[in-house]
Amino acid sequence: MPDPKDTQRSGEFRLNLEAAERKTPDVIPLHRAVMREMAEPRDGLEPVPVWLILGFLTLAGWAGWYIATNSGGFAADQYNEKALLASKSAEAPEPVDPMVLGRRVYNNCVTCHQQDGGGVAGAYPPLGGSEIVAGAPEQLAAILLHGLNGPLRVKGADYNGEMPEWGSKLKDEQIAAVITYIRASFGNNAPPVGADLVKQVREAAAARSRPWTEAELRQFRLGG
Amino acid sequence: MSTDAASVAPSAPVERERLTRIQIDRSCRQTVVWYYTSAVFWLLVGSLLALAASIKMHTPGFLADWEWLTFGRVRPAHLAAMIYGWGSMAGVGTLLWLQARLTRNRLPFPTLLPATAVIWNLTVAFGVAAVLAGYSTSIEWIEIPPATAILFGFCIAVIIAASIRMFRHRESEHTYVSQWYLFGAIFWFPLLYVSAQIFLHTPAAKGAVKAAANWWFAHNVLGLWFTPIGLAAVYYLIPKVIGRPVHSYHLSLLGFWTLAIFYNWAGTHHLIGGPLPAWLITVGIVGSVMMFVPVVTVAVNHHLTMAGHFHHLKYSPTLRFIVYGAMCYTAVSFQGSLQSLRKVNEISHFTHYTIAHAHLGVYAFFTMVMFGAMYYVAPRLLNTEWHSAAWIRVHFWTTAVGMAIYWLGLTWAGWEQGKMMNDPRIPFLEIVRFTVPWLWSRSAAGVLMTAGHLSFAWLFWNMLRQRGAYLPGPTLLVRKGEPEAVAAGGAE
Repeated sequence: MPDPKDTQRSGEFRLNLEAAERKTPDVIPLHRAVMREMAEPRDGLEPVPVWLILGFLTLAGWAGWYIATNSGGFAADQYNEKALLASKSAEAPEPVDPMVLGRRVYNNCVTCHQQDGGGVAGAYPPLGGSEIVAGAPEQLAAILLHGLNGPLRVKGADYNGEMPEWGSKLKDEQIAAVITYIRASFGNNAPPVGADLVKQVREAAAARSRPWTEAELRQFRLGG
Repeated sequence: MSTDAASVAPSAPVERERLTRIQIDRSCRQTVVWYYTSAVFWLLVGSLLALAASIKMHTPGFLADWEWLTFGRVRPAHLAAMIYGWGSMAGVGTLLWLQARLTRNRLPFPTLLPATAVIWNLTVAFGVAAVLAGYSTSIEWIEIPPATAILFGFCIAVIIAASIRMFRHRESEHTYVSQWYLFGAIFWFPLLYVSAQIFLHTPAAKGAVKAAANWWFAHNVLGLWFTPIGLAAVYYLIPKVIGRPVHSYHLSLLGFWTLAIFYNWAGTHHLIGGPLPAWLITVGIVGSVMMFVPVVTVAVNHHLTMAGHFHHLKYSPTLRFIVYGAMCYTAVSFQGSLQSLRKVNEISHFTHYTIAHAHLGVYAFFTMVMFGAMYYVAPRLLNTEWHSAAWIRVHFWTTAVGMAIYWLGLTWAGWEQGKMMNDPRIPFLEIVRFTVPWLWSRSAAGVLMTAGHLSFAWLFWNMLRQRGAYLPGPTLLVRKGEPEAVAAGGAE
């Protein structure tokens, strides 16, 4: 029996069984489908099978493994799920071959010095066979860092041009790489140069604000 | 176990239970019949649009002279009519009836609820017409104009209010598993729908984030709106027809909560290979694969409930559709979990395989379950039996066989198509030519399914006219010379 208080609370919205019972004789033949149906469904209380639980735990283990190994380090800009985890790549950056980096940096130079390092007669000196390229590495680094203006004599020929400065655009590592590259290419065979030397030159000539001239350059020595 | 069905003088509690049901069903009559009738109407509209779209795939000149019926408009119009017209309206009708039955209350708002059915119809009609007229938003699954959101929102708000009101005044302290799913559906769907409107129609999300929001919404309409309503109907109707309890409360509990936890994550598997962070897609894949948990749980629970009672399938139209749907739920979910894996998706994505999969979910599972529910509910609301068992047979076999042809043809063709598309040596036109015979098989399947829908509409029309009112018992799928069947299916 419904609680009278309940009936009051919900008003006419609640079922009115008393009224329905009064109508019973007319209602029954009209509601055959409702009359014959089974009771409202109930729940059985069988336990969850053990094999099902074990299977689900295995699946959850796979899910954890898959998320951990296929999420590209959870980086917002990583589209390759197989990419190394972000923390690992920070610990051990891949070593760069200076010849590969140098060849790439040399793309900045080809307009004047040409792809084959031959330069342009009268304007841009060649790099292949050049005394300056094969000579003191600190002078070569100085040219790259601050540029070189005015007359210049290379391989017995006179040049008068403007070499721009690259010190503000390239890092020490890139300058060292391109020096290493030109000293080992175009027929040259001079030893490689490290980024630490470029760093020393940058510090030694830090006060310099304009390009070198040939005379100034010839006097430039590290520690001198 | 089936003593309730006997016509001997019933005990007082049983009699009381029957009177309760009579009142409940009478209160549901206007609203649910409105929703069901509209659903059947949209089913026919959606079928015709589907046939037009399907034929255009192999015969491009078909109906191509009028821009309203070009493929780019007909296909989204088919989707809108089926999702918002047929599926949602059949779903809401079933949801309201189940809530009333399970809370043992009359359906409230006797004027407002039928009015929502009218508003819902007008909204779908406006949406479908707008898409055909060229005013599509061109965002998949939500092509209808944003203005429709306000009207759908109002209807849903009334439906939620009705559900909560019935639940607050429920007679039983125990909440049956179907009710969890129904509440899941009516709280999740508005959340999805409103969020999708905000993310897709305002600058709240931009670029690739929009794609993520789009597939989160589209996938969850199936998973968190249709699926819970479908499962609620299955959980109610299997025990109801065969007259025994659901196998395990614990399995029901596990199945519901794992669905609630995992489904929401699955949508981004649609964007494998797309410009989204790898982890977001990986989480989507894991969410999809973890769907094995609720699906296996529900399948085991249903199977063990049915065990020993499969002979009812022969006679009971309700059970036949419901069990076909429940089995396809297991099948489509297994397929979906596997399909979300990167290796599989690389082949299946952007092929007809996906279309077959979508229809296995929305049609073979949800639509078939809704047919089953209507076969059970309508005679109770209208005090009339279905007028013809022969038409029910036609309905079942055309839709069941049609769906099988549809799925087999497109799944196989789609898989081959995917492998060919991944091979750069094969010219694209050659791949298109390869799929043409299978597109024809899709159209043939579509004709079968549409024939089934027409038989159902004919049955439903006669139900509304109460043509079967003179029949003494349930309309079962019994052949001549099978008298024992009547007892076996007495609970239909």
